[in-house]
Amino acid sequence: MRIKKKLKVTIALMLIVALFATACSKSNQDSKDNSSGKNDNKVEDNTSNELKPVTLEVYSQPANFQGEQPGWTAKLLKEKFNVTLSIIAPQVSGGDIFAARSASGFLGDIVVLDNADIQASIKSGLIYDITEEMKQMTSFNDYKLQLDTYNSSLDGVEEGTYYAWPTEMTNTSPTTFSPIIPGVAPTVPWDYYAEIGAPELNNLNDLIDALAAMQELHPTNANGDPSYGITLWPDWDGTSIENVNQLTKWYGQEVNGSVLLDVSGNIVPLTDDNGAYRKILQFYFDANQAGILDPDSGTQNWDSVNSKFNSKRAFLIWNDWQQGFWNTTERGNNRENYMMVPINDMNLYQPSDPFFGTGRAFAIGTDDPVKKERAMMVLDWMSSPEGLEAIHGGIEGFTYEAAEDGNGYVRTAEGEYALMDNSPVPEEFGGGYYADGMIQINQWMVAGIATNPRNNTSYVYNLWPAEVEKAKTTTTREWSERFNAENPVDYLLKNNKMTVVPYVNLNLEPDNTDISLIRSNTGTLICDASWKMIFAKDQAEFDALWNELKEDLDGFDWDTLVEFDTNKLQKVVDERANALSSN
Amino acid sequence: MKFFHDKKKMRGYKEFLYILPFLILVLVFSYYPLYGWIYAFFDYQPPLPFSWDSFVGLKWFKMLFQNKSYAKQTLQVLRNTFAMSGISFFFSWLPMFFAIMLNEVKRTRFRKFVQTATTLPNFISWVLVYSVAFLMMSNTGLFNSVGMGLGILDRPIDFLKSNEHIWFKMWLWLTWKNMGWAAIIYIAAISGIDAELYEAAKVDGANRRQIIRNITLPCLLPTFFVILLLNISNFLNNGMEQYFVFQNSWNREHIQVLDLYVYNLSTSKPPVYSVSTALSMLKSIISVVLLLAANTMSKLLRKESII
Repeated sequence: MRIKKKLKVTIALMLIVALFATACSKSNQDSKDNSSGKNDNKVEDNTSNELKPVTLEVYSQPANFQGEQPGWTAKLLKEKFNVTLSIIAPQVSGGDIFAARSASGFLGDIVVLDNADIQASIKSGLIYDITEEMKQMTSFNDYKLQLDTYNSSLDGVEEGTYYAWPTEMTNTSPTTFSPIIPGVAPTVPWDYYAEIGAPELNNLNDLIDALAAMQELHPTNANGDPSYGITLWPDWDGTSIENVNQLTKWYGQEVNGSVLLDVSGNIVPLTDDNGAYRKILQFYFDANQAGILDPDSGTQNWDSVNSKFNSKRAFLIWNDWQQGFWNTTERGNNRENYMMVPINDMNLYQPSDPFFGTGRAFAIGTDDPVKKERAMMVLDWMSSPEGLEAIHGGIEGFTYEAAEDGNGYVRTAEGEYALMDNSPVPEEFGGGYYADGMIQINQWMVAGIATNPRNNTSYVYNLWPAEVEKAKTTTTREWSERFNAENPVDYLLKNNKMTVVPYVNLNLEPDNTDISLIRSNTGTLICDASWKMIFAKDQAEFDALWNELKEDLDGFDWDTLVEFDTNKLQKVVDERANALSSN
Repeated sequence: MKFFHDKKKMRGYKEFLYILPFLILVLVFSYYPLYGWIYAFFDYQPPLPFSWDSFVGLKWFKMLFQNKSYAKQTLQVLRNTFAMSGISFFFSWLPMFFAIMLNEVKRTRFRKFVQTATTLPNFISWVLVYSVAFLMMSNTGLFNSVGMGLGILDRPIDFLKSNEHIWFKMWLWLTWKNMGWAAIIYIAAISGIDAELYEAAKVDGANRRQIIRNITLPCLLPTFFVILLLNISNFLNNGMEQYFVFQNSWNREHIQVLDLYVYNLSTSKPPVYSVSTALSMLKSIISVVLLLAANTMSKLLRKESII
């Protein structure tokens, strides 16, 4: 009994102490908050003419982060406009939040949506007319053509009114491609490629032979972990395998739902026997037969792939990710960087600069005058050269500075690693970490490759003259010598291995429920069959699975879906022809 | 006011007020959501609000069986659901058996250790379970590395990609995760059995096996049956997280259960809310039928009803 009583007293005491402790820490925090609040007010007094603090809700389709915008961007917005951004991310909280919020009649003060949702939201009165406000924006005149094109394509919108600002527009040209590295192309480690004699690759079989030779010489990476010619992952699959979809672009076709659209505007079903989708499945199947396909390809997730890319455990990579994951100046000088190697029979399907935007748009979802005004201030900043320099370039004085020759900017030593390492940011710029503090809406109003009128180079560092100079390493010099070109895009254009198709941004017909159901059911069938085909025992099983898939698809009204997608994409084809003829 | 003079009535009202909060809770959280069934009869495409133009009647219900392929798909999903629920239903005596065995262990420390060790997995999320499974069973995972290192295996075994015995394997994962947790209620029930019964049996010279068969087991059976009946009404709710993390292109035709199918449909782009609502309605109806059937069985067999 006594012991029990003692125990009770002790526990009670402990609880009381704990209570006090939390209370104390709370009040400490409060007082801290107060003091920092005061400081903020002071700063704001100087810069934003006593604007009242406002929190804006931002509904962002592409955001990967939900909550209050942290770090250095938060500090910038607070000081300039006394605005705090609270980001709502359907990718974090689940897609049904869109249905729930639209049913409540309020999506967010600022909304970033796909074209189809923008159109539907205008119809349901969720986003508001901003004609007058838009005309006042700093960059309005620079992008007037694009804004007119987009807004006049919206249904049920009066001529001459503005509702939305398409994402990632450029001021370059609707038919050219500015970057020096293509979106999707075969890249391999330069030292391994040189080691096997830098062979000429005539077709995909040669590529398999080259990768097999590399794997034979380097069955493991420096740490002794097994490495493979090719590694794939299923968690990006939609209605077909993403790793196949991307490679169809090597052969001039792009997967669009149930069909393949080619560089000259022809549309065929995804299941076409001579189409690129089957060709790439065959390529992966052959790779697996040759023993160079990572056997975990069908079950691993992107995180595990990511760590393989970071440690040189995969040789063929179809995107220029290695710019961020692996390639550095130091490795470049050791010839270890990944570089593009061309295949002679390829014809890259390369969309041009997104002159007219990338299929989403920014809009205003509030009619509260104070919030609307403040939201427009934020949008104005995000689309102005000043804001774009911060959004694409980072923090002046920390990640970049003026170039020595005065020609644009150059990254600082910290700036080169700030994103890769998520480096801490000094307190004077807002503290926190660099990558965390970048604008978490995760979408830009103007693309990084657009030209900055202040210095006539791009907003993003890759094309700054000083950076182009810095990026020249032993690897790139050897590459240029071998392929007799300045950079990959230069090579591909000179040798007719790339076709630039105009990037069009249209309001295409969204799926209705019937189509969506067919898409969902057939998508699962296609993905499952595709994976089984890649890992099939032999060619006979591969062919049998392909034929079986085509039969199964017919049972789910595949033809209806193909017809729907073909009609939809015909508009894209027409618009491309327009863009080319008017240019 | 005659009303307040009637003491019996007064008491009735007072007692009604006691349960009122709970009635409201049930109404709000169990009946109000049924309003959502209305989506199954419309062609709902957010953000466009509801209107009678989008009323489609029973279209989505018919669609699930409209042709051979759709019917095959729906039946396949139902087959998987019934198979996997059936296996766990068939083995639902296992936690009780485990609790009895555990109770027979006389070393308290060891018993506590086993109990804690078997209960812990219940608190690990399925996503983490899959990461562990991937680390151990992928081609470069623990098992294959050790097997290859010792020369037992010529080439790695693709555990995760294989479709063989997948229902049983899924049941094993589920049992590993849940058994300790499910045994808790039986352990509690065992400690509630009157100690005099045991003492009397010992005096009569009963051995361990006889005590278990004639005392522990009969005392646990009522608990077992209540849990069994509750499980039957949950037959179709065999969760989806587990199957969601373990699904891949090789095992999907055997692993896609009803809940997972509803999820896969409602997260497609754009989501087909209406169809998945229709599907989940079917599920509720089948559950109610199963519960009623089980209750009738219970009435027939044990002369006792639970609802």
